[in-house]
Amino acid sequence: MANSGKGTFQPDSDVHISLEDQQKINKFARLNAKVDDLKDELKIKLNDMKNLEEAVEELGLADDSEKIPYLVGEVFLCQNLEDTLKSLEENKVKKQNEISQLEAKCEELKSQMSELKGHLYGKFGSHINLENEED
Amino acid sequence: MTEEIQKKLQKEFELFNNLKKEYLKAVSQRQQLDSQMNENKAVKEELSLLKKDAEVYKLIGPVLVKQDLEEARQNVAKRLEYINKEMKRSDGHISALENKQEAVHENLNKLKSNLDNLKITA
Repeated sequence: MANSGKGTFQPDSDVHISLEDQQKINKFARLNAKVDDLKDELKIKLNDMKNLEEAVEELGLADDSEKIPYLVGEVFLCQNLEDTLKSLEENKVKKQNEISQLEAKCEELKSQMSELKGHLYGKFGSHINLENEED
Repeated sequence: MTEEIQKKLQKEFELFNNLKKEYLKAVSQRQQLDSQMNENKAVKEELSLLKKDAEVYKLIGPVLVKQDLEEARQNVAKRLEYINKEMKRSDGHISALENKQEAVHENLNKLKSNLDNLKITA
């Protein structure tokens, strides 16, 4: 993945960085990396959710007489239509909880980052760049 | 005079970087289309080898939904058609970006040599 750079620091000869400040910069970078990871995970889970909803839709046209293979781990369990729809609903609820948890974690980290941003911009102004290069 | 050229140089450089980003994105999209096409081609072949009474299932999420063989074949054919169209469009886009990049690269070289000349005559 190319460097979508956040936190570039141009060494100016007249700017002094205390240990505390450097630690704050490092923490910011760590939080940013974690947020990126969470965002990737979130994308995957949202896609899973979309697939689950699509499955429910497709089954709306299915007939009740045949057994439907449902993937659990490495095996398929054959269930009737009603049980399949129930399993799908359970799966959706679980997935939604996972998504909400990830989103909450993201928000928490982002607010920590905002706090650090405020402090670092206050101290260094235009000598530091803490913005994401949005593509 | 030098300052003017330096400003132009910086602007052109920014343009160069943006074009490069766009180009990399376009190339990666094209690669994704390529892999999708191969996957669908493989499915098309498998489906074509099946007997009329064969059972076909489609994996949607965790569910294997029964499909009609003919319908499945048609869906895959339609998908392949769409992918091929997208690939042609993507190829066109990539060529256009390559041309733009070359033009900007030339401009950069020109500006740089202008700057160097000014430095020599100063």
